[in-house]
Amino acid sequence: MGERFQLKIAGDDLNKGIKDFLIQIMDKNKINNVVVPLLIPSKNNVFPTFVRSKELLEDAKPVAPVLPISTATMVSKITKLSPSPEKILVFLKPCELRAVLELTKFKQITLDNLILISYDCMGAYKTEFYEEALSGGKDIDSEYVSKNLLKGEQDENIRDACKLCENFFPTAFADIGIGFIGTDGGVIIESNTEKGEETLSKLGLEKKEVKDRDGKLEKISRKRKEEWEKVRKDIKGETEGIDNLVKYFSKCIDCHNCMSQCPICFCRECFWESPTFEFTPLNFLGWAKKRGAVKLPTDTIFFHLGRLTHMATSCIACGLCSDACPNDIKVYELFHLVADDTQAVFDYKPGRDLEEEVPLVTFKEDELKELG
Amino acid sequence: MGDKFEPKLVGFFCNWCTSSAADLAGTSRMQYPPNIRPIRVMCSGSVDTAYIWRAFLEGADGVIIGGCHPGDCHYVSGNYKARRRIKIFETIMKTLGLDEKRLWLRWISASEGKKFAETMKEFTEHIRKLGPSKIGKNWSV
Ligand code: SF4
Ligand code: SF4
Ligand code: FES
Repeated sequence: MGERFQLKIAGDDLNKGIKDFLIQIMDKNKINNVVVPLLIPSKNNVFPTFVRSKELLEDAKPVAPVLPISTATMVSKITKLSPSPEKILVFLKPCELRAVLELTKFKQITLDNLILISYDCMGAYKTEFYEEALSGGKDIDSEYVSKNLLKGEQDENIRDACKLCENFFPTAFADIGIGFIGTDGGVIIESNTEKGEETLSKLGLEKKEVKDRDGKLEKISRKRKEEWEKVRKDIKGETEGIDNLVKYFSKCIDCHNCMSQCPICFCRECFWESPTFEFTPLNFLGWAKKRGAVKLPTDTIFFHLGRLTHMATSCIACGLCSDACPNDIKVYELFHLVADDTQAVFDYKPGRDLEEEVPLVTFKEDELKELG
Repeated sequence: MGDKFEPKLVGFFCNWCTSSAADLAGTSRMQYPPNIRPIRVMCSGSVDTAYIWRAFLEGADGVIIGGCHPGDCHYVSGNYKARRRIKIFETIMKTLGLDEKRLWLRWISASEGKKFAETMKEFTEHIRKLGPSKIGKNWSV
């Protein structure tokens, strides 16, 4: 494990090169299924797609810079009820990989028979931006590959959450990782798990030593962390105290889109959408009497505070909540801020390690004595 | 009412311990402030954090959760899980500048009527000093 190999790709066409690599893995390992970003037939967007037909796989765009939804949520739809009887290759972004680990801990994904492949991601554009580029006939994918993936430049148009992402490379839990950064030129393949090693062993890849990949990844990570610290401070200032919090969410229409797109919010019977929130006139009369007035819809701040206490310890900072908000509220920034602090209490990092238990389902007898 | 601030407090008390301690304090005629509105729950571990937010948003100046001492929970580990939840809640209050000192967690067994009465006195005085909470004052939450 931890071995690195070279992936030979003709020219700069990474999407084709990686697609061919996936086909090679499938052929040599007798795998018939792959979940991978694919150009939809209307040719103006890319979605994770469960593909079996080699012919349709021709339209795969594994490293397309767009994140319309989280692949983790989709993998949960496929494997929640039972493990897949057949092997499935799953190609995903590092943030989606972290979400897959969290959902596995929550028993929403069964990892058996899944082979997870991830890569050094330089961020995604907002879906709208990407779709417009494709509709306008712009070859945004090639530009992204040559400028951003292969040269490591950060594009100013990528999503805010991506600009601040500190874990933009495959973690130890990607069975197979594809690297562009610190590779001393070219593309490298890493096997990080036994499953990955076994899968790659059938391909006859050429080994490759790289000098300072980890250092280079770490450097980008550190820079983004510094950037986040600045944003963090601003957001903290903007949300301090109940009145500021209300102001921060002043455009919230209680649509719950942020929650429905959050890969971590998996509860089928969400408390916030339960009959608890079907009120009678008496409830409204009571509130109006007590507070003088009730803003309608009510309970919007309650919803966000409640969601924070339920899931912030597992927030993987993907930014999909902000993408989903019809009124452009910076949901992700606030959740990331709270996630940072709550995760630090338990030295927990979501998506870091499958063995690490989610803070809210476990405890130690000998802890937090100051509380009681 | 006058000008004097009377804190409005909500207590989530475990049925097996703190609620019984409250009864004991009552039947033993121990004095404690009437500010607390007790809510009987089956276990400190059954208090969803949503209900704590609800209490604050509806105007509570302080919230106290009372459970069985560590090792004594009738459902084995409800109180340990409650402790983690309260820690997370407190952390979020702190991050968002929502005055985390208004939230207390205390272990009070069924036989500790005196401890119950004293804790309620202490909590009421503590919140009295902090003054009214702003959280429940905003009508557009
Ligand atoms: S809260 Fe937002 S940033 Fe965090 S995991 Fe959910 S969608 Fe992603
Ligand atoms: S998506 Fe935006 S408007 Fe909808 S509930 Fe979330 S924050 Fe509110
Ligand atoms: S039964 Fe009392 S805290 Fe669990």
